[in-house]
Amino acid sequence: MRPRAVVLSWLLFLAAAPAFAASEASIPFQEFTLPNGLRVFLSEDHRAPQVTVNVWYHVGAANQGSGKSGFAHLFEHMMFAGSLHVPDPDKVLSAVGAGVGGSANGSTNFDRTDYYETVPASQLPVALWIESDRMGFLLQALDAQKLATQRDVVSNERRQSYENRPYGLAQLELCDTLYPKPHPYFHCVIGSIEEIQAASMDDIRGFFREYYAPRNATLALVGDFDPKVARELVTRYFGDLPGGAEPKRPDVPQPRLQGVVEKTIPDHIARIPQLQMVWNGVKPFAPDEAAGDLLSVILGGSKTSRLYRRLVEEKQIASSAGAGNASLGLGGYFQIVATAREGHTVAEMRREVEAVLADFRRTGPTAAELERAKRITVGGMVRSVERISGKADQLNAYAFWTGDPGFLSKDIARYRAVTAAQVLEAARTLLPPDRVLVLDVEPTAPSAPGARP
Amino acid sequence: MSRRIPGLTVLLLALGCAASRPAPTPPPLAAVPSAPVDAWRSTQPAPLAAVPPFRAPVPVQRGLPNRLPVLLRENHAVPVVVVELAIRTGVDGDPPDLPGLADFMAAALDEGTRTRSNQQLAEQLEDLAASLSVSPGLDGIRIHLNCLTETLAPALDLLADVALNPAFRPADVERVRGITLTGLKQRRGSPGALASDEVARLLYGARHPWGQPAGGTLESVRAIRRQDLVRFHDTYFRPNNALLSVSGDFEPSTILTLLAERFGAWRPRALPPSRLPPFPKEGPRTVITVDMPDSTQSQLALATRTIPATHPDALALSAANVALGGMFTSRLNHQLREVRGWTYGMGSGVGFNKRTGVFQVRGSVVAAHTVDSLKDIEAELTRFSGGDITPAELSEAKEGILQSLPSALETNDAVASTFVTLSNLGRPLDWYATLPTRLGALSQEDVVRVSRAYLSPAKLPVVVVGPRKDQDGLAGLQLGAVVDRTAEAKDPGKVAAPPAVPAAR
Repeated sequence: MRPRAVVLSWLLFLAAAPAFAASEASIPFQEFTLPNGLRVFLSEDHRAPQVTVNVWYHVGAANQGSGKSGFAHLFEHMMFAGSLHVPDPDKVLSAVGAGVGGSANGSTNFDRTDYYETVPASQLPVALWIESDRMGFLLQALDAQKLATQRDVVSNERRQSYENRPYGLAQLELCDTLYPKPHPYFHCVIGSIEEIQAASMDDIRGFFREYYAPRNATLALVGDFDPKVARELVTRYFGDLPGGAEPKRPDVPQPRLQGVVEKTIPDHIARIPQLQMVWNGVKPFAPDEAAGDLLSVILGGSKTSRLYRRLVEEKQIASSAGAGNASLGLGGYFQIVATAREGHTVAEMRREVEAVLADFRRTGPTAAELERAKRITVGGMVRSVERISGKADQLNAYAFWTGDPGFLSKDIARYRAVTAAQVLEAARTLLPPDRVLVLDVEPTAPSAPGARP
Repeated sequence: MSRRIPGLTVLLLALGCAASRPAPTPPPLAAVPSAPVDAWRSTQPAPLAAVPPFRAPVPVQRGLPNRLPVLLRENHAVPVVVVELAIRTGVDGDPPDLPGLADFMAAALDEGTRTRSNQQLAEQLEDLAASLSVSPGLDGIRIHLNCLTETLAPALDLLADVALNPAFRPADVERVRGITLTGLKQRRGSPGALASDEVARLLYGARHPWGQPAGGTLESVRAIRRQDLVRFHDTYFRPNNALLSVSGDFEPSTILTLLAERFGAWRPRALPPSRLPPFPKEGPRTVITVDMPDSTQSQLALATRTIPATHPDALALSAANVALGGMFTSRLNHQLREVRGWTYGMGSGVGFNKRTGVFQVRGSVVAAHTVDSLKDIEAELTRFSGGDITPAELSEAKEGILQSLPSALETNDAVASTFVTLSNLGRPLDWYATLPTRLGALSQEDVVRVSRAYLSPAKLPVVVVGPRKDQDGLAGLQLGAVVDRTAEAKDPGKVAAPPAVPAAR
């Protein structure tokens, strides 16, 4: 038996016979918890002399107060601004060779924030030094000037990623409609420039004290290390940090669409109209999440999907058509997006989407469609752990949502077990025709070329 | 949202640096905590004992009797096989009057074969849990297959069918045309796409296929006929103009048979001589502006042609670029983002091909500081190309290049594609394996010399796509004549169509 980095039984996964419905895939790891509450996952992978360190904090936009849009993400930027004993973490990472290729970074989403770096195996202590110092000693190093700079940087991120990108503002409109004030998802994760610019040092200090502590985090190490040495190092760098209070998970009721809400969004970057139809969605690992995910693949996840076939291939009124089931901690959304083909309209596309949905709500998926959707989904899950960074992320993700970092094989089994009847039921309950947000993104007439003001 | 955009992709996989640091002594783990907490935390920890260095994969070279070269790299870590079939002609095969032909052909290639409709093809790929994509580039077209070990044979059937027997059915061609035209129209609104097209025109010239708007113009794509696709395919999809690159969990004793069964009957044929026009001569520096009155940012690009991939200075140029703008901590990003707060990211990149290379500084800045940003970029480029690079900066660049290799070559997808890139560039296939030694030999003087030779801002035309109302003082920077190309950029086909030469087809 040749050693495999990811233990997989692909024949089971692939076999068409229903008897082989489940597949086995797992990330071998060991786990320990420090007395301060930090859960640590170690997974050896000796394919290359590198190691990835990945910290998840159980805090995201969900934890922002009303009127503080963008704050969790702005805070993430401050975590790179230096801590008491590591004044310039980026410089340290560049010096040890982690400056090229984007392997050191962080990200904030609706429910969690992560920080990670992939470093040469011999530099594992440096990665732990940086992560532990900003977990324990951030505030002593922050000042108003650093905050002012990052407020501007994040404002530019919003301009670049939303204001100057086709359909970017529609994304923000989606959040604002599904999650009206005072919901913390209002203005999505990026937030409004006004509220980003209003963030104060007191806000930063309060957020750090409340959410940035070992008890509200998990740490995953994947790569070429000796687990005994890794454990000693983790204990040394994180062991004496105060654990912090028992983390609070936010509990905000999910606002529900009460009817058909139609909005037109002018877009000065896009040149082609786009239709988005959005429904209230589910939370991660909710009972109907897996069926909803497969529903999204069958409707719009590939070239064989119902929407692609109908809108792009048969009617030829769209240049692309897709669907997604976004599960979020405070309740997600199910989204269908179709971008017109030149000369066609949102109204045409909406008629066809509604026809596809009406048809699907009557009959559900074919057996072949369901099996295909499962293969696409499970294949994606398995491929996501081909890289050590992917494995570390998955360990932390499963720990956050299910408590079990080794949930991958159970997760695959969860998708394999979905029946056609469950997908049909998901289509009926998740996509009610009378409670939907319809966004019509319309390009504004481009200014006359070359016209001088 | 991620904290940062990745710096400009350093187009080739990075490069590398010397593994020449002495093996450090492992720290006494147990002894450290006895020191006062703050004191030990204030010291950067020493590295652990050195581990064996990363060995970049080097392919085994084989070939089929019909002159189709095959590169093989076994990797049994995951039960996946990646096969990339590379055609060595891409946009450079576009006729002068039909920009966009290679892209159109690539988009239509996997939309059905003589024996499989586009839907059958898609279904069969999905049933195998395989993925197949076609990517056109300036000097090649790649068909990339990722499949499972167990389904390698049927997945290879599909790859070969797509590559050798595309049907180009009229209905499929018209659908692809409609989608392509939609995408071209969309590009006219995108500041990044407008800047890229302007840069391409400046560097390669309005008569060169590479200097055309990416994907062609509305007019040229409307004019492309089915037989143009067929002819492009028939001309350039030949085993003597192709390469198979394989990485993954295959059986070495049978892989060549599997490939020969599917590609062995593919017949070679001489290619037509390439009639590419020469690249334009360097003219006086210009500043191209494209007005986007409603934008909150300006997209900036400064770019120049450099040297081909096989030029002896290529490695030094890559290292210089990393120090200047290839890392988060590099000068450009540090100054424009961390000192000024005017951008989410500013970086530079170098890319090479067989004929030339490109160096480019790129980023989006808040509109109000468009001119200030250009002033800062100019100052950084002037300083850097004047030879001002510290040993620490060079060391970070070299170490960064070297240490990025394991991640960059972690997946079979990346390895198979990297072999193709090396081959296209004319670089030796052990380029990455030998990189540590070559990078280690790179001196400060080398890097200073290439910075002076290639990165002087006096050579770099400037492109600004953003609101004109925020460009007061642009001419005063004296970077070059300011040329407004708003009309041409937003409607390139209508205003600046190359002369149609239908008889040449």
